[in-house]
Amino acid sequence: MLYKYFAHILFVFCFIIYLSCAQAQVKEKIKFGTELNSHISYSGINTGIQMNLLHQNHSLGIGIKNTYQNSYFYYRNALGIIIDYKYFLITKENIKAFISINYNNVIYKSLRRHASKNNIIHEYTYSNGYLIRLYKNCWVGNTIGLGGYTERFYDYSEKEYGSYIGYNVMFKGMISYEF
Amino acid sequence: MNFRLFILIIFLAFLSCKKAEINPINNLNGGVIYVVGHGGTGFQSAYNEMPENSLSSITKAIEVYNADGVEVDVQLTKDLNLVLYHDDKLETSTNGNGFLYDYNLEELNRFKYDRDFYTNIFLDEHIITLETVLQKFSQRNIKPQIHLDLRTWLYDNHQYSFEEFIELYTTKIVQLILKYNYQEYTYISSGSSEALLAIQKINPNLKLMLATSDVYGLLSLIKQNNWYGIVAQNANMTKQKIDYAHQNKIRVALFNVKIQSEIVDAVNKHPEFILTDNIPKLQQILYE
Repeated sequence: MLYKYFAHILFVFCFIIYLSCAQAQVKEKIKFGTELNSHISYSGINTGIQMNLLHQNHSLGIGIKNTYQNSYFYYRNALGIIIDYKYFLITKENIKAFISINYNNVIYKSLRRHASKNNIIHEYTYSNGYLIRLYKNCWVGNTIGLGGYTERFYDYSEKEYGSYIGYNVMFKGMISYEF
Repeated sequence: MNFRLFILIIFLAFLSCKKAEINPINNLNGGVIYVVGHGGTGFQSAYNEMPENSLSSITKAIEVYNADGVEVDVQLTKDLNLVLYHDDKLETSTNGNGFLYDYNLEELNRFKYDRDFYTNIFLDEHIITLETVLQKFSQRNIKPQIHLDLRTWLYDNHQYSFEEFIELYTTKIVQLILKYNYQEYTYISSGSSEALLAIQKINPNLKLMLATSDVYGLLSLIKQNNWYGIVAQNANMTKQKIDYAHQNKIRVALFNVKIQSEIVDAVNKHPEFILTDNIPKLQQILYE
């Protein structure tokens, strides 16, 4: 029972650390970047690739993801989109820390004898994370996020769509490159 | 050298991705294998966050995964309510302690499933009654099958003799099934022939399945009592045994079927039911 709120505490702890380290940012021109990431969350194990637009301490990324394994390998090779906003609280030569809002979804086929429909999972998380410079413009890092999911599914018996809403936690690792 | 190793790994990865080969199915259901979720969406694991026998797991198996049915484990509480729980002791999956039969239903409601980190933080699942499930599913347009696994050996031998327990237990089960008019969709399995005979005595029309893989040895018992079929571990059943059961009009349900190789193996034995811990994978193999 001691670990009941472990994820929440870790999340808040990181957030406070990052906030306390926040500093004025140096003005920069707009830059582009790309990010390859892998995360585990309600929809399972995902890999994603996204293009980032970076301006000062803001970063907006849009990309696609492939969910190749989930509870029971259901959504294997199902595709979805990623929208990811980061705000950098710390930008030093070799380390960056950020908070992030992430939305992603995945559409998968729900199977029934002689029938199939598309179900969709929306995931939305609020994360803390950091990036460490690997070399030159290449960074590696990870985030921990809390949020929710909405799974919209087709119920063949009732012939209608239903939905579940629940908590979500996301652990994500990424490699990013700034052009 | 490293490059060659890399190519070899890629080649092996491709080989492992080959499509499952399924033979045309020939069974007593006219070629249909029913997909039944074992304890709901399957037993809880790193890939299946829902505790088995919980309402979230059972509901998800039926509504989201569209399984044909679910298999649940039925036990009797101290105050004679039928609840769904797999083990004898509460501490294996919940924050309770001791034997389930030592608690009344109201007391059991205080405990929640807490086997792992995810369950503890994100789910608020409690032990539910069989009535909750029957009530919920009896209102659906297409009623899902409910496979009841009778936990006949999990009884309080200080409170009742085995015979008293069987009588109480089976009477409660039959009453509940009849209350929700769920006879057609209920399959009752047990390793105890005493329990099956007791149910048959109360209502001879229910579908009863003996939990055994000894088809040859117990065939006469099954045929003599006109039971519906058998439930057996996939690993203990060969295609020959299942063919023999079919020749004698005995239906077969297989369990312990989770990973792809087990699913393909089970499907190619042509049972009538597969009680799987991996509903989507089984559906993918059967329907795609």
